[in-house]
Amino acid sequence: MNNTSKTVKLVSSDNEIFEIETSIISLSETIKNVLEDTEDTESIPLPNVEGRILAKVIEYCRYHSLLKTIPQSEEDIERWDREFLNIDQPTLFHLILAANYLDIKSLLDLTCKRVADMIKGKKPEEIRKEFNIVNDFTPEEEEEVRRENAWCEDP
Amino acid sequence: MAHTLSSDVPIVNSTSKTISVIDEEDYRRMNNLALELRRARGNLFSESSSKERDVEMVLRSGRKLGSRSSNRVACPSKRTCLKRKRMADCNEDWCNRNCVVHCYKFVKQGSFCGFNTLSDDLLFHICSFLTDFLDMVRLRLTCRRFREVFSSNLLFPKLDFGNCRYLDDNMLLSCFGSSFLPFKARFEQIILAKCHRLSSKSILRLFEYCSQDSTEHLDIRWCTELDETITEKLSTMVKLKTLLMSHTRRISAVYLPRIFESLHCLRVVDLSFTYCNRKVLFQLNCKYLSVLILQGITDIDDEVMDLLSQRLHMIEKLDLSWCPNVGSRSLYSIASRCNMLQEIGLSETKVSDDGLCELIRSCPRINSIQASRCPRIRDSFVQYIIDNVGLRERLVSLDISSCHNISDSAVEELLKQCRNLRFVDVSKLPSRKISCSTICALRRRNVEILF
Repeated sequence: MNNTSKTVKLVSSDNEIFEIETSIISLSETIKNVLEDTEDTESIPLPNVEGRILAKVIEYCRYHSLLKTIPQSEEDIERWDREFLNIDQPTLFHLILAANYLDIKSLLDLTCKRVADMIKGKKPEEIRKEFNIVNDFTPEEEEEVRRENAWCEDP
Repeated sequence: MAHTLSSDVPIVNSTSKTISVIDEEDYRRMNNLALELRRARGNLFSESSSKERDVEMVLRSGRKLGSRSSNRVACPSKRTCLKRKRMADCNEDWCNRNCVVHCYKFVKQGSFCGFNTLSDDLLFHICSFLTDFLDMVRLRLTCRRFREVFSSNLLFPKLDFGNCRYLDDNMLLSCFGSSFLPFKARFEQIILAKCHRLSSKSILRLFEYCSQDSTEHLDIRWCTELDETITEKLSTMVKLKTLLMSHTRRISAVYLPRIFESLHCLRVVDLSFTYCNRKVLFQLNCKYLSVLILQGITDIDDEVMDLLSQRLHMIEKLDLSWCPNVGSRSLYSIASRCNMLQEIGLSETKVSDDGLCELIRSCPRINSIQASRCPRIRDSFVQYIIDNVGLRERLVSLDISSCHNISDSAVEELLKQCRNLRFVDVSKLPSRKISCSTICALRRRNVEILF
């Protein structure tokens, strides 16, 4: 098998085509399974992933599969990951969905951890603001919520 | 009556219990209202989208909303409505306005991708990275969806009040004493170390509130106010793997054995400076025990150690520091049976060279020795380490401070030979003279050295 230079075409939901080495994209369990099941696949349509998100995913896979051949220090990897996640919120959530769909565990953990970090230490009102969450409690429930809230707001 | 209709009971597919409260007419009207709202939402979607892809996306979002529609469509203030029994003007406006606003947002953004739209699985995954219990509570208070998703028997990684020295009964009771938290939390780890103002009463209340069947790690070190009333509860936490309870000196020796009667999974136990005695130790189930810390227990002598070591097959770390009755015979017993041992603490005991050498010879994994203030240790022990090639390479941490009978030259030779040391304490009062070049060489290798 000449796996080293074999490539596959990924087609995003908006019909953008990405050609990429199978060794790199094998980080995704989903695609790995497809490649194993069907021989000589030329292109894989990914109707759930937009082009710009897929580009991000590939960027991630490229860096992290490079690490297998050229090891880097923990710090460098951390810095790269931080830089990589320097994106707006919709992209971040799209990335979570894509990582979930493509089954890339390390990317899913990375992105979910980022969201968890955004929640940490915030008050409910601040969380709503951060994530654009609509407060859909009724006034009565709101009152109840405020009561529940009282103790975890005080340090 | 209003109490039984908690806000989480969906009206549309309500249980018979709920229906009995309202009459049939009201129920029918409510269903109609639900249908109308659903239709209104559908219209909105089909009107505002032009592109084909958008339609598809919107339809998908519609389905998504529809799946939760039972909660959304029913009037949010139904409790009040049902009380008044006036369905016609039951905040219909509110429903309309909110649903429409909500849906409009999805359409306007083109893609409806946000925190609130993630699936439950992903939400749980995100929250698995929240280490603080309070973060989760705050998240629950943001909107209905999250309140529903995180509603029952949540498993939190840990409840950490460690080092909260000013945490007292009143504060803890205000957190867990009232019944407002509608879910029963489970904690894998409960850390209350150094909360020395807490009494048994509030901790028992905390245990009552969270089910203990999943607690694996309990840290109540330095909770000096705890008394024997807590022992019964502790004995029921059968999944405990780690129990740290040093310095709990109000629990008397009579009650201590009781704790260990039914704890069969223990792996790490710290009983330092408690009223632990041989009876407690023989009650301890040691099958899986890998760490046992028994500092400052006067009841341990060579005879006890002989019997105890017979059961410590898996032990990796054993700390007997400040047990004044432990001598070299204990070390012979340990050496013959505990071959997995990696770390040993023997500070201020009566151990001597021959016992330590025997221990080193029989335990091929040992890499950490704490033996400060042992006047019976002499140069021959240090020489033995230097001669033992395996140990010399393996040794990571060594404390032989205030061992007055070890000479400076032996120490210096030791420091030169052990290449993998990370921490070493060779201090001695009044002073130990080690050449600057040796110390500089160690510092260059990032060794933490006290001299």
